[in-house]
Amino acid sequence: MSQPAEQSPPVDEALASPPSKLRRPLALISSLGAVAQSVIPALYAWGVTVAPVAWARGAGVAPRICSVAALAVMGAALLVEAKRPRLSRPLLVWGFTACSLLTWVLAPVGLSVAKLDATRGFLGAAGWLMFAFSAAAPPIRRASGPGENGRIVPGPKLLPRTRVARGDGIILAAAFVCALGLQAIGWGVAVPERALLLRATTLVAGIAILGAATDIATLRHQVRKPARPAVRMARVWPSAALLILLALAAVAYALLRST
Amino acid sequence: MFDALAALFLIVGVAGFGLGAHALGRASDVEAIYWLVVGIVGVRAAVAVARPAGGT
Repeated sequence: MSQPAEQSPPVDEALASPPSKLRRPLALISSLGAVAQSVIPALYAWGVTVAPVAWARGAGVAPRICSVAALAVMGAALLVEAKRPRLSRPLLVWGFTACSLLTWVLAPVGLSVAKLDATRGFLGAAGWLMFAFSAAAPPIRRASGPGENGRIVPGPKLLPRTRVARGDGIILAAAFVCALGLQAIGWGVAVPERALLLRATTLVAGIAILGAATDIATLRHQVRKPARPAVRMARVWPSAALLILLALAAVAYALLRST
Repeated sequence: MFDALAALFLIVGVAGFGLGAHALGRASDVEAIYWLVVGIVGVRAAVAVARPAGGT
C-alpha cells in the first residue's frame, strides 16, 4: 500500500505553487482561435511534406502554384475566422488538404521511394497527424468560471494523489535507458529475417525490463502483508538456483571447449 | 537489502537480454538462447524478490 501521509503534497502548498513555464505558451495558444491553433501544425506539415516536393528540382510550375495556394488558403481561413467561424475551419481542412494533395499529384517524383527520406516521412506523418488532431478537436480555451482563475483546463485544480518517490523515478529511468539501449543492438544485420527476429526480441526484452522495473517500483511500497525474509528467500530460490545452474553450465562449456 | 537484491537480479536480466540480442545479431543461436534465458530468469527473480507478500 502506498504511504499517502508522506508522499502527497499539502493542498495549500500545491495551490500556492508558482505557475509552471509551460503555462505561458499554453495561455498564448489558448488566446488564439480554433483555426489559428490548427494552422501551427498545418504550417509544420506543409514545410516538411509539401514545400520540399513542390520546390524540388524539375518539379515544374504547377506544383509550386498549388503549394503557395495551400498557404494562401491557410491565410484566408485565418482572416475569415473572426467574421465567419463556421466557414474558416472547413476552408482550412478541405482547402489546405486539397491544395497539398494536388501538389503531390502534380509532382509525383518528389514522393517516389527513391527520394523519400525515412526520417522526413516520419516527421511529415507526425505533422499531418497533429494537424488532423488539432482540426478535429475543440479549441483550447481559458476557463473563466468562478474559482477557475483563468486556467487552461476547466474545473478545480487537479492535485496528484501521491508523489513519485525518488527511488522509483531512478529505477524507471534506468529501466527505460536499458530498454532503449537494447534497441541500439543489431542494426547492421544484413539478413532481413534475422534483423526482424532481432528487433522483435529486443522489443519484447525491453517491454519485459520495463514491466519488471515498474513492478519493483510499485511493490516496494506495498507493506500490507510484509513477508518474512525467509519466505522471500524461498520464493526467489528457484530463480537464483536456475541462474547459478546456467552460470555453471557456461563455465563447464567454456572449460570443455578450451581442452 | 531486498531492494538491492532485486536491482542486482534486474541488472543480470538486462545484461542477459543485451548479450542475447548481441549473440542473435552474430547468428550464434545457441549462445543467444542461453543469454535470453538468463535474461528472463533474472527479470523474473527481480520481481519475485521485490514482492513483499504472496498477494497484494
